[in-house]
Amino acid sequence: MNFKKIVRPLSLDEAYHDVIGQEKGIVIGGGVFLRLQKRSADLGIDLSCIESLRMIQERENDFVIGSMVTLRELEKNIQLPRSVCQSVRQIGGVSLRNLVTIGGSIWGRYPFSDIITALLSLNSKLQFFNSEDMALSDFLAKDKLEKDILISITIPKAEYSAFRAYKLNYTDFSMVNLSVSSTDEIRIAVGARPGRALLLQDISNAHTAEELLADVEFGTDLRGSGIYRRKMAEVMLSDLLEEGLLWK
Amino acid sequence: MEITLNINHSMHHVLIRPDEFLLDTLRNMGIKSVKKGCDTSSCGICAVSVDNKLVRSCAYYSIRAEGKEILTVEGIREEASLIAEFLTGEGVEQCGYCSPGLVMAIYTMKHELDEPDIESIKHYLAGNLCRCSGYEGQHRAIMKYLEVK
Repeated sequence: MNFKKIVRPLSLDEAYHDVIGQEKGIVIGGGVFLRLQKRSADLGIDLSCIESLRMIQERENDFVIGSMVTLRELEKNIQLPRSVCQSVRQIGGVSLRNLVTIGGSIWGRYPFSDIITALLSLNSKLQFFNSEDMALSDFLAKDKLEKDILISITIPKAEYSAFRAYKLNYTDFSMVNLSVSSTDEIRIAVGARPGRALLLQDISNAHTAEELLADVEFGTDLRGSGIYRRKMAEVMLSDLLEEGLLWK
Repeated sequence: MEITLNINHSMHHVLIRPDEFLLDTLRNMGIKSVKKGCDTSSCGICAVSVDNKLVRSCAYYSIRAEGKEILTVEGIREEASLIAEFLTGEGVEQCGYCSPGLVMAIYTMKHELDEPDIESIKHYLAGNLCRCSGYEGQHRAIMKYLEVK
């Protein structure tokens, strides 16, 4: 993506003014995925100078993660729920994870995303500059995104959480990924189906991985068939559930 | 636009396009150790150190580097020569195209990891692709360089 001009606001007020003031203004998070897009914009709004967006704050019951925190910072933070650290470990490589931000990864709503699957199972909430707070699941379900700035992500502390992904090689996009967490309830998310990640609903009556995944749609693309994806997801979910029982 | 960059321990005033990436800026300045590989942030060949963090310069906006310390192989000549000795000692230096990125990755890894073992080394270097060596020689060379037992 080409920009005619890039501004580097020092505050959120200033950044939001730039966002709504420009018809073709694009917020730059890590900028890695934007870089690959073949289009141009008049203005790029670089959030990297806003210090408040780069912090990880631990509170009594949750963590608040600024949207410009990089995936490498998440990977190295051992206080965070385990599934968050696990989900970013094999993305690209260290030199990429030092650039990619959690905010950019969420705003893109990428269907191949590993981190979105982990955050979805943890019942994460998003805070915006202008809009009301929103559950990540609602954000993923929205048809169209309004002009706004994602400020932070709140992740509840989990009793147990784990993430698994099946990749053709170590740093590849996932063919399918899964995350399980236990906070006040058990939540299971499936991503890279290859569609956008989704939460499994009505899981109380299902007992096996096959039953739990019965209603999930798995598609076919270059990386693998829907049937193959389903089989892999069933095996990974069985492992995760077994691991979860051991944790208790 | 004009920016000031701290590259290899010296300050440079540079004219850049607003959306220029550090890879192009460095190469335009004659710092040719930084190679353009995939140009899609996939291969790690263009890796440089920015404030002691390994980053892919093909996806790092040059204006973001203002006020930060940029290091390339030219800025760590002594250390880079030593690393290269270990790499050649294991027959890893073949086409050599990925070597500058690999050397910068080894350099930042040495400063970032406290007690690297073979698994953490493999994990750290997973983003640096090499189509010649098959990686085993690289790992042997790095273990020797870091004196990992």
